Amino acid sequence: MTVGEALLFATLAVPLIMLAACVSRRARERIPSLLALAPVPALMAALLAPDGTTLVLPEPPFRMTLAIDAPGAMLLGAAALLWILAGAYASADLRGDPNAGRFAEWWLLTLTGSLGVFIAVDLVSFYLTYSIVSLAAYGLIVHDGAPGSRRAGIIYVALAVLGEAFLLMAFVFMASATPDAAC
Amino acid sequence: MPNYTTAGGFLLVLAIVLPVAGALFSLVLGGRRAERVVLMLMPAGLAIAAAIAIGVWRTHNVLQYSVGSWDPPLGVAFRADGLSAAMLVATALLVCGIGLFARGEFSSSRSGETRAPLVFWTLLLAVWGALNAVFIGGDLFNLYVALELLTFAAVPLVSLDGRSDTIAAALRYLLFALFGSILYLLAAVLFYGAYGTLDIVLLSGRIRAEPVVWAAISLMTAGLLAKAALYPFHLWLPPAHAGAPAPASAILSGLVVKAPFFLVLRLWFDIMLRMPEPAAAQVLGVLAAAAILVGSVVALRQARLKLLIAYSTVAQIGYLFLMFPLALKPETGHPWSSVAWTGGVLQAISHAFAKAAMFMAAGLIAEALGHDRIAGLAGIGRALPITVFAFARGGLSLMGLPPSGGFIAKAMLLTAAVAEGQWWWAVIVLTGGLLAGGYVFLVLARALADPSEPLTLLSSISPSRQAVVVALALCAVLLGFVPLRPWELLQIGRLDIVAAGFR
Repeated sequence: MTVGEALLFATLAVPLIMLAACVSRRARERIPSLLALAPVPALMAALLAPDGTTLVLPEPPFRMTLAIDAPGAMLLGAAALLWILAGAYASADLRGDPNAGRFAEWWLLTLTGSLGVFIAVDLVSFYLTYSIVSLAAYGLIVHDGAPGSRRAGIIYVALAVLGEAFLLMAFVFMASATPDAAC
Repeated sequence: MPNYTTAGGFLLVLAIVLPVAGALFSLVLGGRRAERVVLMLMPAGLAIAAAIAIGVWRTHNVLQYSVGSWDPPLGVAFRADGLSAAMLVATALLVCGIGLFARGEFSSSRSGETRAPLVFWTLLLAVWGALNAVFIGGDLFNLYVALELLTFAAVPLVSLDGRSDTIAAALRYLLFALFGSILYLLAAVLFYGAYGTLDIVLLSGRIRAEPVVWAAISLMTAGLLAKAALYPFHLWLPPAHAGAPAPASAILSGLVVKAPFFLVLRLWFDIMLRMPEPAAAQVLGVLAAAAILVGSVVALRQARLKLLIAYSTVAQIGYLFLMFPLALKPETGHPWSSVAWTGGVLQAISHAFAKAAMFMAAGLIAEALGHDRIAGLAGIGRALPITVFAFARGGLSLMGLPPSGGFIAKAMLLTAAVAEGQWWWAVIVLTGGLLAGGYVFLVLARALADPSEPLTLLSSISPSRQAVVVALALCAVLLGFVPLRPWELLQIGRLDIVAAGFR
């Protein structure tokens, strides 16, 4: 595994490991202050991974191809930078919030999907990461539990699921137009 | 003539005899030992199912056994092709999961009451044996016996608690199921009268396009639809599946309704091998679409969690039958090799895991809260995070979001609909997914919300039972990693290849 491939892998693995760590109560209290660190591998991947780095995760169990090219690197880098800055702000904002752990979990899940869409290059992985980012954002929207944010959350999920249905349909059209492209 | 019974054919006999003998033993041994009999048989049954699947996979051929060495048409045969093997393994895995889960509910050491546990453990084995018999039965009369055994094992599971409303639900179920049995038997008689055999392979070679065949097939399909609860025969399902105890609901919704579906597959793709009937398949498709839409919309309006899940079963059964209009197109080649056929079968298996996990998660939630009103679920996500996670994973599979077997199945059905220009089925699949998203979200949003007052749990839920539920939900997720194309295992023993060998 080259450095570039390792960085691509870490882009998704690091936030997911932090998310998994939230199972333990002690880590759950620490993680909210570390949110800015989760997107660091993504930023490094955008800066350091050579153009065209491709990582095919072993199947089974995975069936995922990750890759990075110049436009992807720009988007990934910008997104990672934004997530780092927002994460630093969120960590400060969450101090003293009894629900900080819950917020951090949704944050990490949304982040994984958000960064994943830039490096997923097969249809299924793209759809997977896309649905993670769009659905997990619900948890961030309704975090404060106020009636207004709950209403917004319901409208958001309805539109997100509708968007996903259209996206899936489009993928099916694409796949049937190019029968050789294994999705 | 080569020997009819193949190497390893005795495994098929074991797959039926072991659970049935176990059911008889647990009845004789009585309440306290019934549970132990089941727990002992679970690994053995799983090993047999796995051995059959490996045998089919290794030899790339069917496993066959002729009882008493009397070959068909004189004797009866058991036959396991790739489809049977997949269903046998899925059934064994689910029964093991349900058995482990049910230890917390029907453990005889937990309460003095022994009637319900004894009935549950005995019938669990009976259902298992009957399902195995359906999956490997080689002739229509055998299959009738297996279906009856399944019905009479499944109906009492509905009314285990003995309340009057569950008994009414069980009787309604019995009425529909017996109506189905009569139609099925009548059709079997017609087949036998016309062609002198009930063996599926022989029958597929002999039937011709004539009125008696149309009559027999219509009767048999209608009977099986009543048992499979396809719209408009779904009326018995929601009260029956929602009223049963959680492990019983899991087996009824996950497995029992799949047996008649499996027989419709045998009937339409195996027996009617030479004369596919696309026009009639469109009728099944319309019923399937109605099931998806009506089931999902009614599920959205339910106030109780278990009823919501039961109505979602009505909708998901619709997806199973969508494969008929999509796979039965003469111009697209053999229906077995079409993506729609594989998608339908995958939907049957992944729905079994997802739905069992959801029903058992609902059971744990009801046990902890003392009720299953959806409006009162606030805070349960905090109290039982693992259970709610399992419910969500099952729900995502029903919605068709990756990674899950449900996603692969729906993507295959969609691909088939688009490739064949039958776009209206694609609209139904997507609308059903949206509605499923609605009712799953309805539950999850409540479960993840903060409660207005601190939640008090009636009883603590053991981690091992939660682990079983998560494991079943993850099985549905794992099915999401099978390749998105016709699945080789399911193609083994396709009857068109077998029939070509006969000629």
